Amino acid sequence: MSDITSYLIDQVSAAVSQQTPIVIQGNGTKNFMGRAFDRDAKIISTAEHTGILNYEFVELVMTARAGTSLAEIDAALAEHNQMLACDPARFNGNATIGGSLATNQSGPGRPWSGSLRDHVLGVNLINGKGEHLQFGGQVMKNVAGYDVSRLQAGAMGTLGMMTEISFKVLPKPASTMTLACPLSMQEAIQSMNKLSGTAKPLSGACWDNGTMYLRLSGAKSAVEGTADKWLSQLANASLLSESEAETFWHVLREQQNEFFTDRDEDIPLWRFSLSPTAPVYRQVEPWLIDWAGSQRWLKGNFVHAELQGWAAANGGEVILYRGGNRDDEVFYKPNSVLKTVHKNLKQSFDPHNIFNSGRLYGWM
Amino acid sequence: MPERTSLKSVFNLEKLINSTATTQIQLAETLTREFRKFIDSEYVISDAETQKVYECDGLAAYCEMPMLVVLPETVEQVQRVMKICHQHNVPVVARGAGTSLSAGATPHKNGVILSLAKFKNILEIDPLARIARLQPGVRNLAISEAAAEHDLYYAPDPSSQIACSIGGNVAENAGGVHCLKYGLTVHNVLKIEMVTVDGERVIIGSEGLDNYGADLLALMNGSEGMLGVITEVTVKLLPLPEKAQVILAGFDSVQTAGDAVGEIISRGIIPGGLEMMDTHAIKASEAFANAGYPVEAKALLLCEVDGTLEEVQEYIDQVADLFKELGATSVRISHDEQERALFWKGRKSAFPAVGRISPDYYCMDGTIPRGQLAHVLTEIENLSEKYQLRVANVFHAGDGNLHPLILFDSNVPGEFEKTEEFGGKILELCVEVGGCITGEHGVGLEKIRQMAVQFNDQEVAQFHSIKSAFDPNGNLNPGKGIPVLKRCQEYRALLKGKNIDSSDTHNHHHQSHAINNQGVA
Repeated sequence: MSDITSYLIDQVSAAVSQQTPIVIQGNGTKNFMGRAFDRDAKIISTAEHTGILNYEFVELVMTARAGTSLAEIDAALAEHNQMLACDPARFNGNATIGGSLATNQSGPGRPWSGSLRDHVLGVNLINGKGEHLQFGGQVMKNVAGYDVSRLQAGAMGTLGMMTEISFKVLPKPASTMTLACPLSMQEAIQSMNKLSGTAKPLSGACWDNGTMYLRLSGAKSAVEGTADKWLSQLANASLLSESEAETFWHVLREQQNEFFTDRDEDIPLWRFSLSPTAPVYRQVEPWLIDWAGSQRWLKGNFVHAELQGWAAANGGEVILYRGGNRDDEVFYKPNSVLKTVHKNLKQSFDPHNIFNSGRLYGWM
Repeated sequence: MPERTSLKSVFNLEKLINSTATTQIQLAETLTREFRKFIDSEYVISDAETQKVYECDGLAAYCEMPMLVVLPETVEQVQRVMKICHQHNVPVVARGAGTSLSAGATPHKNGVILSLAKFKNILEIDPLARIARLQPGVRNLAISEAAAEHDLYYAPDPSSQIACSIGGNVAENAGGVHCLKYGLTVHNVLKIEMVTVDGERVIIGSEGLDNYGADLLALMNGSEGMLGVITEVTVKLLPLPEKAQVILAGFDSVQTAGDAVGEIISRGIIPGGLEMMDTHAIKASEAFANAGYPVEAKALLLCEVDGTLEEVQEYIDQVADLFKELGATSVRISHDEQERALFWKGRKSAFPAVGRISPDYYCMDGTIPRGQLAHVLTEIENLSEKYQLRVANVFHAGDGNLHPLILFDSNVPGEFEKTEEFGGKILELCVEVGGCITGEHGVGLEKIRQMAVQFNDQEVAQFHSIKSAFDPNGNLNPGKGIPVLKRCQEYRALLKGKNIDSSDTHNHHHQSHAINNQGVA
């Protein structure tokens, strides 16, 4: 646990006065995301800026320094049988809370328990003038001023250097069970959407390699009652053992199951976020479908614009998540009006353009 | 010589005022003419008598007459209105149902009220994807009513849900009594269509759950009409719970009731709704609703558990036992839907009920860490003594949102001013204990001074520059939400003069950390 706030402020101020761009880095677990780094920039690490500053388990709120690892956070939460509700990828426990928010990571429970963006309550950040500012707070409802805290989600550190983050946490579910059911991709999309519309304790719905997986979490009686009901309703459905289930959801969250690992490092991995009912597309290609249809992974060499055309027609976006050419644009391209808004916002937080230049978009 | 100078400057001032007024009238005439080229004359309102209904929102203490009111009915018309206003550099205040309790929709005297009241259509409900696409004027409750045939509903339920519109809900990031479990508006909106200050139409968000890049959708929620005009909203719908049951428990102290709330949550139960009322609110509500509230209790908890049949059965018994164990003086469980509705009726009618025992009431909206509740209520009681004004407290206990209702009589000269000062003190107290000045009602005009207590100058300046990113000339709902820096400094100086240490707001931040740090695990 160490506080290097003043060192970080000094580094930012120096970068401003010398007009030298900087790259903000925690433990570097998500360096593969976003566009390639600015090679001339100086790396400023927040990895030493660690420690849980406040944990009110009765209030379901924690505040931690940005460089705090998720492993440390998980351990503290486990003492009170609580958890990070959005269940972001841990990257061997090394992922930091700051990096997880900057990239807005969420696990398989995303449609039911939200993203880190949903749970963040407040941030302290150093803006591009070297000012250390505080937004939001430690309470669940707060509408004073613009929501600068949630604006950071997905901004890839382009709007400032986060130093402290407050977020909501939740109790661990009393009970969890997982069903597996052999289905085609098309049948699974239909089934996951239908089941999501019923008032049952669904907390995960994924299709991988010809099988649909359904996770139930909550009160023991509700989980068992639903599992019994669905086992009899869904053809060929079976119950996974506790350890099988745990492994399945763990490697899925960590993007470490066979779908992700059985791939050359350079082969592009595409991530779609779109309407959960979007139909099957390029059926012969390798897909993994998560979030009950709303998040879809595809691997292979494709033209970004073509994929984006299909994603847009189905209410969503696609990014080049991993691999491929990272000197080109990897994120969704906003139209000219929104592009101006993004540029203006960048200018408002970082007038000298020193933070993570080009990491999110080539033009910013 | 000095006399002549002063006479001359008075003359110049008058001339200036007259010429400004003339320009203003000419401008109103020009805009009226231009708007009537594409909007029916009767929906371009220029006469004071018809404009009168727009002079305020739900907080009637703040009134202003607009220059012009316009009610377009297509997005193209909204774009044209915005383009024309942009050309003439005229302020625009977008308005939904006008139920805001913070004077967020109060007109600007030199500006146009852009009412979205004609945008009332539910454009699409997709039961399989569980979304509803709505025009901004659709009432909050109408969404759930329309979704009910698919066993779906829209979760955020502000107490004005019968009247308030979804566009306004997004602008204010509206809450309600189910936020702890189901979140605020920001957690339930997927996508918006917005018209920018210069009349461009853009989509923010998508039908997917995540959007890449900085989260503009989150920024728009709660932005109080200061960044753009919302013309369409797509929301998530949730499956209607199989069952919901309510427990009504009386306690002999606020502290005991507050501890009970913490205990439920630390046992891993997240109730659908969790509300607390103090003795004044209990008495007023019971007299009004006859819901069977324990009038001798010092605090009352309403705890709703919802979910599957099995889950509700399992948790409702646990919660009831827990309340008894923790010293509840009375515990009742609703046995059917009728009784559940009756238990809620008392809480839901708390505001009008309080209205019956006082000529006027002023509703505050601070948020505090739950652990500070007993301390805050004691301090409010002390302030109540000092100002000689009664207060009833209603508390969204699950999420820490406190609604003190200050009772006053606006016919007594100076009493509203005294009430406002009292209210300001309560908000400052909320910030002091680590909370904030508004949980769900917004800043508007009402709490703009207290923004200086929660934020320092650099933070306020950052807010202004965010606004400029969308609205460089400052024409969208000017004067609301974010105070001008000069006023912040004046307000802090005023507080300092009264011996309350608010000169450096960062002291507050650090104080609040210190208070909370006592609870570090």
